[in-house]
Amino acid sequence: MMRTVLSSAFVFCFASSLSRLRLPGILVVVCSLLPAVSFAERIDLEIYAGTYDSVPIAVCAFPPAAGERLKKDLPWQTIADDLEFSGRFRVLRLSERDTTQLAAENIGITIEGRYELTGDTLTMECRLCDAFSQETILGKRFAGLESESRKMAHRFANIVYEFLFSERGIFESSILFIRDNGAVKTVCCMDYDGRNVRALTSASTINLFPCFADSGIFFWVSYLKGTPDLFKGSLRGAGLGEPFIVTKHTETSPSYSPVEMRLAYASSEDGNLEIYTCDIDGGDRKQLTFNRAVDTSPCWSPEGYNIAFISDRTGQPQLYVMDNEGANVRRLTFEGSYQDSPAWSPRGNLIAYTSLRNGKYDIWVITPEGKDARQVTTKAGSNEYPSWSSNGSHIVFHSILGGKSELYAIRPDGTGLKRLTDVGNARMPDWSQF
Amino acid sequence: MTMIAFHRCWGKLTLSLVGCLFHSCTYFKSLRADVDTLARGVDTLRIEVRELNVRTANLMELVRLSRADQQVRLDELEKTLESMGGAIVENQAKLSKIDEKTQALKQGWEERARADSLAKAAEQAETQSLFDVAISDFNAGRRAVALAGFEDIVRRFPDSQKAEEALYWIGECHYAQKMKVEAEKTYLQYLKLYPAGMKVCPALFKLGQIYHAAKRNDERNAAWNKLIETCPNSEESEIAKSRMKK
Repeated sequence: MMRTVLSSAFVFCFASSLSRLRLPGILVVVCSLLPAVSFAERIDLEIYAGTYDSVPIAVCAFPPAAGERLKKDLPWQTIADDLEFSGRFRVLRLSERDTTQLAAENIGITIEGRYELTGDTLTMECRLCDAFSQETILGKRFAGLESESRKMAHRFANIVYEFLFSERGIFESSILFIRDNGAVKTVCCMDYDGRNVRALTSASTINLFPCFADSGIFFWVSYLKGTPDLFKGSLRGAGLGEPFIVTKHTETSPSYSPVEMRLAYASSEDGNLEIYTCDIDGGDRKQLTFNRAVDTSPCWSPEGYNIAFISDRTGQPQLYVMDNEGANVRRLTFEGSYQDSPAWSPRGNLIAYTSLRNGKYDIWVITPEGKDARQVTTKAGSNEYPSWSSNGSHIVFHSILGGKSELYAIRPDGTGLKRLTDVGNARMPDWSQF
Repeated sequence: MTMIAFHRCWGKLTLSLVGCLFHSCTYFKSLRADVDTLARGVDTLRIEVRELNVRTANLMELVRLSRADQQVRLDELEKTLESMGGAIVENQAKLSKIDEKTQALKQGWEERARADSLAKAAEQAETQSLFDVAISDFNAGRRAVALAGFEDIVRRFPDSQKAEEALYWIGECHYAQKMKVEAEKTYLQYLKLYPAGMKVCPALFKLGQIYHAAKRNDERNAAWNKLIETCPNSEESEIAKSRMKK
């Protein structure tokens, strides 16, 4: 018996989420199809998803219902890539539905769909189905430009991920990074999977330390005015950005807390680099550290109460944590001669950082209590500057593993290493919220 | 000539004989005197010997009596020794029993001490474990859960090493959840109970922050002045100084 999951269809404005990524405003109709999920099947699906470390799923190519055929950015491939990247699926890619193969591979659920391409308008239906009864468990319809096909696919992958695991997926997230061309370093943005790279700064100067904030805003350090200053920009357009904190001193390594709605950064205003915080308009500045050492690279905890930072107050740069008012300073790392660029997992349980040991930089993780320090990257190459995905499932970092500086993603347990970029000079990544 | 010679000789001989005789008489007299003396001496000696005999007899008697006495004493000693020996054996038996009991008691004490020590170590391990979980919850943003964890430690193990820190972090849980009244109360309780505690500096600082936000400037200054005085080299002290300048 067919039952609707949602009580009524609704029009979902896709433009608001797409526009922050400089895509034209597109009205996308997303409505529930007629999912036919009986109570018993729903329970079976939950058991199915909970049974496996990697949930077996088949992604079948979408046939065109009418019109032209898609030639690139095939959405079913994007969905399959997304699910595979998550590390929680064992994906079987099929050019068409094949029951024999499904049975042989013990596949219980499939992703199927169809599309219609007319001109540059794409309409697509995506369904999560029971592999054998072919009944639709979850269905969504998308409409937009052909160039939006990847976005639609990412959206559906997120919907499936959240449906199965009750947590948000990262497939619509973005990564800021620096393209290092020597004297000119540009802030760029890309989709989480390395696609859709675009420059966000246009000034021919050195730009460093990009950092996502809220509502399409980001901060970075620019030498536009001659000294390292903090600038503020929008993901909606490339440009010079606007000066945020510009002084004759050094301002560097910004980090934003969406919970506290404050920016932490390092400044040499006091004579040497100390940690400061201010609100998103630059007001209410507070100095948190007061000592002769270099205190830098602040990083907020996810709930905004603590700040991890690097200090050489004991002679070598080590990782410390303090609360957001500068009290309760405690040291976390005691091994390795040089630590840098801490990044606090959105799950709150781990801090990733760069550590120099035996002449090599690698990504390590440690608990906020300073316990269980563990090496994440083990391959050759210099691996630095970690940043967490919004659900804490992956870490992006830059590495010269392949001989050139590229961005890579890895899971905190060291598995699932994947190169994201192929630009030759990518550095300093920062992963966005969902 | 020969008669003269004979008469001379006989005269000489007679003279000699007379001389000898005289000499002998004298000698005999002296001998007699000597003999008399000796006799007297012998008599004396006899008397003395008799006396000595008497004395000896007396001494022998004394010795005999003494020996008898000693024998009696020896007998008594022997008896005493025997009885002492018996008593010793008895005491040894008792001591053995006492020793066994002592060993048993000692073992019991050691086991109890070990058990106490284990219990104490187990308690310490448990409180440490509870504390680690609570602080991990706090750092992960699970304030309410962390608060319950810290309160559990303070309630169940008030004398443990971790109770002091747990009380401070109860204050932090309140502070982080912006429950300033509860936070103030907890920090004040902490400072009262642990005036030399390891978290005095941040507790005074946070107290000052609470007063600062509530514009209770006199109380803020009091808290921060105490902070500066108590923890002059701390980070919190430097922050307080800079905030008070503004």
